[in-house]
Amino acid sequence: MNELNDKDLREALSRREARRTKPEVPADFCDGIMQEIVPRRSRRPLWRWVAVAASLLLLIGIGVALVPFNKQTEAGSLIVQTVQPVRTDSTGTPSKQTVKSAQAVCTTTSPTPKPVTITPKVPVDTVAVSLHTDPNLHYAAYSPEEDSTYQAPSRMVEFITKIADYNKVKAVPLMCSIGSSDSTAVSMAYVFEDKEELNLFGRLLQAACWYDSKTPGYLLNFSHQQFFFTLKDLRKNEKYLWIAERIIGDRILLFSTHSPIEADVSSVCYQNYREQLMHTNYSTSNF
Amino acid sequence: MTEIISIDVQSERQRIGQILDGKPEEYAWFVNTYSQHVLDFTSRMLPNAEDAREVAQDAFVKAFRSLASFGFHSSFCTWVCRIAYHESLNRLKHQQPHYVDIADIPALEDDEELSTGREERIILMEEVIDDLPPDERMLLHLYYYEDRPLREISYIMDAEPNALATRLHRIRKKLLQMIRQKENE
Repeated sequence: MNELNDKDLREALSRREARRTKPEVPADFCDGIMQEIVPRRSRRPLWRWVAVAASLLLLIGIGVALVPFNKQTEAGSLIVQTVQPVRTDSTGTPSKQTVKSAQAVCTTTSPTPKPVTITPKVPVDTVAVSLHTDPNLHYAAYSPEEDSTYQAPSRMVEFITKIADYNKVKAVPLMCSIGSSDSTAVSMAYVFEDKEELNLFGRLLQAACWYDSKTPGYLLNFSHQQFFFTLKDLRKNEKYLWIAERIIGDRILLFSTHSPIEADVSSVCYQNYREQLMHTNYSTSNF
Repeated sequence: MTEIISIDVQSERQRIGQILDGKPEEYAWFVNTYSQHVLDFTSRMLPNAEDAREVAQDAFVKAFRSLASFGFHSSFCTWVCRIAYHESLNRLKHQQPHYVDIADIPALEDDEELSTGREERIILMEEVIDDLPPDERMLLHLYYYEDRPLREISYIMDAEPNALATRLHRIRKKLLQMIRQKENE
């Protein structure tokens, strides 16, 4: 025999296996393993959690001790301000009341810190909020309504109001309605300094470009001397007119009026006011 | 043939997942299901029953502790057997450092023939198998008795399949020489 026969080898292994007494698993076999495994697994995470909790408490304690109390209240008021709903008035400008209420929360914080509970989140008018934070947007606050492409003509009024406020120009109310008892027309006159840095004509023209030429009542005329712009808001049933004119004394007279579409409004009031400023004639026109 | 453990791999995966999610009661299922097989395995490697039991338990403990790293490349039982095999070898290293090496056995001449019959050869073979070192005995057992594929044995023994095939060839040659020696005695 030069080689081992596989069959013989298998047979020898089988017989050997048959002779062999199989070891019995001791009764405490499983217990021995469990004692090694289960306590270790339960102990480890517990220690970890205890260590983490202790270090967190320590950090919070140090933080509370180091941060001055007035800074804590500032932070608290900031949170309250951001969740306050910013209500807008009919012209879309943020109401002053909202700011006042937020400041009131600031000042009425008691010496003992109270937990700030933020209950249901009120949707914040982000555009209105950003007006306070973004200096580049101080002229145009626009609240998008259900139709995002729709440009409300009142936005132009809002723009003019803001640009006047920014340049500390007072709005002079004028009575332009034909019937003396009709108070639905709102007319304002502004006198701006004709400064290059203000560039009022350019800004008005830029604002006029917000509107599509197919907007109802759209009429735009402008020159170096005069700017004339009309719009109609069919949703609110209102018509708008803006006239800006360079007058003597390096000034720009801006006239803004809006009234119900069916109301008769005369520009006589504007003419009179202009005459007061210029002592010159100005043609009367109905629109 | 050895007792075949029917392995439901999906069930094993689920149970291992439960253990990792913090349900230690599932440990018992693995121990109860595989303890006999693993103990049987270690007792082939270790002549001392106490050693075999300790190594089997250690193998389970080590497997459970590194359960998160179990990649499901094999069944859980095969994985524990792999751990048990290496544990057994470690234990043997400290107990029995000396085994008869194939080089110590006189070379067999090619034309020499054994005159024994088959039954006699099988009996002699049983005897010489017992004289083999435990790792060689285990290799023979896994390959010829349990009919495990070389790939699986290579996983348990942590050796390349080609190396195991060569080793099997050498063991067979060694067995033949040991049988001849016995016959000559």
